[in-house]
Amino acid sequence: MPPEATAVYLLLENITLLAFWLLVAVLSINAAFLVFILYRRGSRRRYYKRKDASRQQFASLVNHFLQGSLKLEDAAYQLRQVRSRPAKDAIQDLLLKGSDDGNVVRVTELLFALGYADRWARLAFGRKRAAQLIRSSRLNQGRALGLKLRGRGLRRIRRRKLFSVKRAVAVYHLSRLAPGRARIFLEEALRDPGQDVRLAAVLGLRSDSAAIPLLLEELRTAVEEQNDVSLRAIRSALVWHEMPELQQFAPALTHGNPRYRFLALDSIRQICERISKERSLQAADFPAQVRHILQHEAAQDSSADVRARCAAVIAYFHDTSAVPVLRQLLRDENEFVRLHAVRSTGHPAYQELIPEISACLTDSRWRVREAAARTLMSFGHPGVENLFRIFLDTSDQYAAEQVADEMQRNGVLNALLAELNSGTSVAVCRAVCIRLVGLNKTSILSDAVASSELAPAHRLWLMDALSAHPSRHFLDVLRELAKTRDEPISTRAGALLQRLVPAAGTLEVRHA
Amino acid sequence: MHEFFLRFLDYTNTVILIYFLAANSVYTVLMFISLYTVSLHAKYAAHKGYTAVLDSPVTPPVALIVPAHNEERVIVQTVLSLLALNYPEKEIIVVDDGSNDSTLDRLIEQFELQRMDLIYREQVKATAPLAFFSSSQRPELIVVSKPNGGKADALNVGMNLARSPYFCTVDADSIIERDALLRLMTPVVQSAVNTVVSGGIVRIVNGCRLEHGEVVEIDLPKRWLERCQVVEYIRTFMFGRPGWNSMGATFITSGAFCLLHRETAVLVGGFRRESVTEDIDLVANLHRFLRDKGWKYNIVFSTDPICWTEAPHSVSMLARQRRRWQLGLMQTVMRDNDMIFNPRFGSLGMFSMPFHAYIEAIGSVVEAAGTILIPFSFFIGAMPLALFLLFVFLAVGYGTLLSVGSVLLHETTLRRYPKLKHVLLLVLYAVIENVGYKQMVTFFRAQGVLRYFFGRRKWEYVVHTGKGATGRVAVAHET
Repeated sequence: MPPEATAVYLLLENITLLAFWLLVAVLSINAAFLVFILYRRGSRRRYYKRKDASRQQFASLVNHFLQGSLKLEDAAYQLRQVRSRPAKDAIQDLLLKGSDDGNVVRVTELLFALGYADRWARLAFGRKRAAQLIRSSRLNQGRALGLKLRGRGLRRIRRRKLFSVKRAVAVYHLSRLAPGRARIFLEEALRDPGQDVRLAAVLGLRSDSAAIPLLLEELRTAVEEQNDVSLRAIRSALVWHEMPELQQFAPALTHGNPRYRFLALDSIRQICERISKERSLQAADFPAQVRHILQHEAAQDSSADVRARCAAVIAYFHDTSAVPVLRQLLRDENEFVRLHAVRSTGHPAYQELIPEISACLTDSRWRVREAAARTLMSFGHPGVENLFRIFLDTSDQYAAEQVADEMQRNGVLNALLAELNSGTSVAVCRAVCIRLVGLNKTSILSDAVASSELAPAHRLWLMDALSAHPSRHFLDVLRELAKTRDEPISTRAGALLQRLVPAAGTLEVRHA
Repeated sequence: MHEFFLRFLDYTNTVILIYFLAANSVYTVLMFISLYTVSLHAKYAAHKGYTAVLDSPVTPPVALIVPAHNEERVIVQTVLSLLALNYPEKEIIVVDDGSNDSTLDRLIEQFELQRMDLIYREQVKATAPLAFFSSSQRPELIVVSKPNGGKADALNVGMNLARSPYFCTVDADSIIERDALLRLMTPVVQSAVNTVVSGGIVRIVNGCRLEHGEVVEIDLPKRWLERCQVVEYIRTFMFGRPGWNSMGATFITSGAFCLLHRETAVLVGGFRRESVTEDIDLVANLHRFLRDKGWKYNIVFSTDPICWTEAPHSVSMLARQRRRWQLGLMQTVMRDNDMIFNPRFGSLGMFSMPFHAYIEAIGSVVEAAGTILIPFSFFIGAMPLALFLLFVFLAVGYGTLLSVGSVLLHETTLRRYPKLKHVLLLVLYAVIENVGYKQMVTFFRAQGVLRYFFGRRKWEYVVHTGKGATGRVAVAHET
């Protein structure tokens, strides 16, 4: 065999071997994957079985403790006997699930006594630092132990998700401790290089009123792009605080950075929005200093965003002191300020602003017109009456269309048609219908013609009105009615069809 | 001539082997990255929960846009499932794209809708709607009727009508898990920069049991074709996309369930009607627009928001679907070919786009050619056994590793299949799909590429039978 042939033969033999061994390797890895899957299934099943059993075993003991019928020392003594991981996890879940504002301090004490808090702190901050923090937390010092930044290289590594997820989960657990005890850990976690960890800390501070300055500082650094925690996450934490705590927002409302001022004010708006779902707010609910800033500084702020948010917040005063400010903001040069002012004024306390709100129906911006129509609806009878008046009087096509849109969406038009039967405001109803026909907004009216709920006289009148500008939909309705024996409706429908159908060819898709 | 032919085979086979080596190398890298990121995400997500997003007043409203064309069998269930979604503030816009069946009537009847003449402002180009339907009892639901203009056109109409800052595209035959929208929104809420797209996972509903628009029992389909697709979906969504996402190079998000920032989507002109895969096209457009503007942005993909969809039941329907996907991919990579190896687009331009253009798009033709030529070369004696074995290893053996690995990753993170029998079957099909199924799909994909070059760029409809999942009405409909 010539040497070249031998070389080729050897190469091919090597490739065959390589392919063979690669195939063996892949099959072995596949087999290992399968074994791992089976092992994991088995181990997880065993783990959850034991955890369920432990949960059942300790549920009543933990419940007694949570309800206060079992002393901390006794609970700690009994639960300390537990050694297995599933049982420990079951107890942790039971305690965290049962923790509420009433028992959080006792639960925290127990979590410390059983070593859970120590374990989370060790996972989050390392053994040495955790020991310092726990000591400080036990003494209830409530403040951090001074800045301690690790080396730059180490911070870069710790920033990686691979290393930070475990810490983030530990911080999440620490945030479930009583606010006073948790704060020291969370404050420390805010300096962590891992974004997930800081995020967990920020969200954990949401139930701690003393942490508002910390959160506002996070917000400021995020605005100034020195912090990669999202603004939404920080605001999510801020909005859970209560009205008396708004006092702490005062420095932020007068800060030099307009975006920071805006976000702080927006957080106040969201606090108000949340609380107003439970009870009606009044000017007295706001701290005096904040009230003063809103009325005399934020309403005249150079930033339109701040003025817009100021309108939304000040509207929660629900008294006459807000009226001049809102009136001024309703006429603001900036469309977004007007928009937010209009949106905010839908409260009986601001009925005297109805003329200004009505004026916004003819605003050059559609969002403002839309908001004005909605706000007027929200005033109930006086607002709707005003809306009808403007709808009938205005020569502004856009304003009329916007009102027509809202009347349909909110069911006001249906209610108006129903009123025809009662005969209370027939003249207004008919005028509105004629205006709607003029605008080609006739779908609901056409359906009303087909509906037997409306008295025949009104249906006949509507048919005549609609025949002035017949849409394809109306013609379809007429065709259906002409087939019925519903007299005198069917006869009139037939007659109208005879009159309109020759011209119908030119009416294609007008209704669209 | 004979010698020329052998030399041609030689060169071609070399190109094919290089292609397989390159493709498998990339897949391996993606596998390791995904193993790392998906496991970590699952670990963290399991602890943090989503109540903070659900409770927060800061969570932005979302418009769910459902384009529907002849979906009478499933549309009511889909809308019911959307109404039941766990999300603080949402609006649902169903766009009936010129259906010939009773899609519209079903909706009107079920939700007692009333025809209205609403204001429609065209911010992105779309066919003008014919009629709007809503109800003061359910103001969050609006149904729009329009002439048939394709999915992209229907989505544009929905965008024009949406009032929320974000919108989510939802296929009419898809079932969204109750918390999925919250999970999709979580990276948006927690991102320090504007997240313009957030994509989730699509899973196959065939074999599952549905009740009131919700998956109540997860099972595997009975037929081999659908089972192979289950494994294929797991591999794609667990390995490919998370890998690219972690590099900040997401190029594909599934339009069946995808959250988008409305204002940015409007700025790029919405969905392009000429594209047969409007979702891929829009993502590429967004990348280009935002890079051009120099704005900071995020396009994310998460593995826990899950949407269930029906997979094709027959080979012919599978062929239509894959040809269309491949054609759409070709349209996008060819239109945006200046992004390939363009450092201005970062890892998207340097890694993701070249991968999608050369390996995923054009590579399918090379792969299909290899599937024919290499065995042919071996049987006529033009290729030694050793090389043939190496090819078999690269084409089949290594594929099993990736597929079984993805099943493993799924099992250790999402764990949606509860029974051990399911997992064993998935592992079995992870091996089986590499022999026959994968090659068949490669041929369909290659057809898609060739259709692009030969100018046959039409949308091919996939007819779903509705028989995929128990609890669905079993009459044919189109998507």
